[in-house]
Amino acid sequence: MAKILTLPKRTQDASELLAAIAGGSETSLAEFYRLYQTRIYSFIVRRVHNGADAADVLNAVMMEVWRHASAFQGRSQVLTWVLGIAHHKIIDCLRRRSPHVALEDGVEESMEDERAGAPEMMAQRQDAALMHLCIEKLSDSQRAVVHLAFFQELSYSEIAAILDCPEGTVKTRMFHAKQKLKDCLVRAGAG
Amino acid sequence: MESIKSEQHLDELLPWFANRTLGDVERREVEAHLATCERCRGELAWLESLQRDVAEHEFAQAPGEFGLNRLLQNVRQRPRFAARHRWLAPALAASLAVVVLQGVVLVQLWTRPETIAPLGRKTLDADVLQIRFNPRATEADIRDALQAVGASLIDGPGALGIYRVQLESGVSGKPMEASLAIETLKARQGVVVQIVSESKRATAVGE
Repeated sequence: MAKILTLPKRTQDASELLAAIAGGSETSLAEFYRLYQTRIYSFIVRRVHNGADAADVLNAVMMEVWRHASAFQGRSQVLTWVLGIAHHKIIDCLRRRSPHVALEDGVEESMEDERAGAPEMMAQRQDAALMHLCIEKLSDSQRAVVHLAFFQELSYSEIAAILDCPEGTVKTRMFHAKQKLKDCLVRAGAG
Repeated sequence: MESIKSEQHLDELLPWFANRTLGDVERREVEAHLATCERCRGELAWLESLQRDVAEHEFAQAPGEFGLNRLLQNVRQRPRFAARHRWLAPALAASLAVVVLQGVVLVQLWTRPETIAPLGRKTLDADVLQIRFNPRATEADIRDALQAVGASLIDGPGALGIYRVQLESGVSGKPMEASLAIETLKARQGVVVQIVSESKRATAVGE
């Protein structure tokens, strides 16, 4: 995991890259794309569940970086800033797809998924794959917190900045996500 | 009550202890608590296994060079010039309006031969400058220089490489004084090679 997710060693390197992008450097934009695409795409696809949509969202995020690189003021890490952009583009995508489905800790969404997924879960006996299936049953906001904490390895304050919510909300969503995962694993007989 | 709240607080921090992003103070608090709480040590072990599972399954193969090519095509189709220089778009629109207006005036002048003025004489009330730019100056340099004095191109280049620019009304409602504009543009070393007010040349020609 380390090599493909390697980012600029110094915050200043990434900031310098953004400054060059703000100056109109397509070369720097290409370098930025290659450095960040995997992390950002992984964040996107886990939430939109569709490769084509995820690619569209990634493109939209990078266009936003191109247009507004000068807006980055160095008050956060570059990754935090970009994932924040991605979060809003993801919300736009999900709302276009299903305007009436609640995205914030949606009970309706997760209950439907649980009923449909039970036979599928019973057939899966590998713990890791089962955990992955249970993660897929989380609400969008819970899934986002789990992904950002354990895949992107971000602090709760960085996650709060990305998801544009209070730090307490991040911790609460993680708490509920953990409970839901444990319940899911117990029902599947693996907990 | 205090110890229950404290334990809840430390329980909330465990995921970020597991991913090693806690600050020093919180990390030490959690470490101290873990030393005395078997339940939390079990919870931490579960979170660490969750982290391993997430790391294994959350990775997704990104679009790669195909995605990059698409991005660069989009970038080239929609130049970012207007976004970087938002202030320039209205200024350019105003310049374009002036050029259109001049076109209207010139058409009117063509239909009324008695008002045609000899070459070298300005036909409008605004100050007009004649400028020869450094051949090495970029379009951005020239644009910046003209914007600095509120000038817009109205003609050129001629056979000698001379451009004619007109001083426009700025935010104050009045165009910059020609003498001030000339000094300002002369200071743009490397951009302006030669500059003179057309009014003075016209005067000189007319004498």
